[in-house]
Amino acid sequence: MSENVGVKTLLINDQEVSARSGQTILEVARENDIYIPTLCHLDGLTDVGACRLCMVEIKGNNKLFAACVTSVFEGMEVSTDTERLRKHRRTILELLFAERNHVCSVCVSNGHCDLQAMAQEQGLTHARLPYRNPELTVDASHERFTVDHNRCILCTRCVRVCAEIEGAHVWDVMGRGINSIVITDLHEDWGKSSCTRCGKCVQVCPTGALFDKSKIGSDHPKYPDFLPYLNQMREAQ
Amino acid sequence: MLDIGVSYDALVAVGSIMGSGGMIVMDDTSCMVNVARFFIEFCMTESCGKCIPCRAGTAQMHTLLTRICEGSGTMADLELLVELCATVKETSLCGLGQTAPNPVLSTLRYFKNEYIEHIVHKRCPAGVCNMAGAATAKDVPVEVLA
Repeated sequence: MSENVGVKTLLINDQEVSARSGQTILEVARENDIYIPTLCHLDGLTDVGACRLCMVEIKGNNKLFAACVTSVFEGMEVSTDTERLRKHRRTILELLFAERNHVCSVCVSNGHCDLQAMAQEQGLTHARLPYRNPELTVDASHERFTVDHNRCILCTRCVRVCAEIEGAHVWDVMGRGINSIVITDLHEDWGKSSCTRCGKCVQVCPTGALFDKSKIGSDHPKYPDFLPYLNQMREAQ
Repeated sequence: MLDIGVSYDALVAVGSIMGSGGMIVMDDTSCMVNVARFFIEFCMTESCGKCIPCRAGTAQMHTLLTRICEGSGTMADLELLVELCATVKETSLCGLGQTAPNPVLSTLRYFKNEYIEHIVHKRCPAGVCNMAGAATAKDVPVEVLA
């Protein structure tokens, strides 16, 4: 921590909390056991504010703010769970479910999926939007892992963990808009890419998009909790 | 509607933006639903794909508007469209997504009757949309539906 640590006092859901200057709303909320839903955020990676599930209301401003990338200020009054926010969160999840192919019952991550858990938690029972079901490829060229683009929600956790933690930057996003997909190297087969085979991307992937070939069926829990510890150990050195 | 000053505030008040100051003049031969679809198609292809509401929202809005233009749209589609407008506008990360629903919202505000004509009467008042999808809906015998 730097020398100019300032303490900020703010209200989150009418609860008075204190924070260090420069902290994000999400960090402060989690420290105080106030829940804000997230999908693209992962402890140990930089935040990109892409999933828009952590949107919160700040009193005095009609706009919504992504809690993971908005810094706190003195006297801020934040609401994290209003009807307006709940509605937007459900619509965003609905957009995700209709975007590609998320049939949980036949997915390797059934029961261990952040998207599935989020839908259950937010009370999303069905999608009213037409399913797009684009025809996307499955790349099983890697000796240990497989990427199924049909299950990808483009959270870019794999891209970030590969670039920031492993330092290899094999993963990236190709294309734009609705046609975006994650790629390895310059869109080469994963098995022929410069992948270091560390498997971090598989562990941080929130859905069944990246999975381990050696696991069968839906027996595929993931363990992204290693990240904060890894960062801590690296900083301590 | 013709008596609007060309200023930032006046244009925002009627659901438009100044942009680069360009203006498009249309008459009754322009179908407002088709115009909305055109602008959403532009935003859909311009979306970078980073945030979900803009990436998937504009694509879904385009699908729904296409349905309405083809004559297969329903009132439920229209409701869904309005809901999507709110989410894309309020939760998108950047200005592209935040303003993408504007053409839909302002055409709905001033020309809602054209949307209703397309959906309920399967007719395009401007004669632009070919309503190809409506034929199948009409072919269904009423007895079967009842």
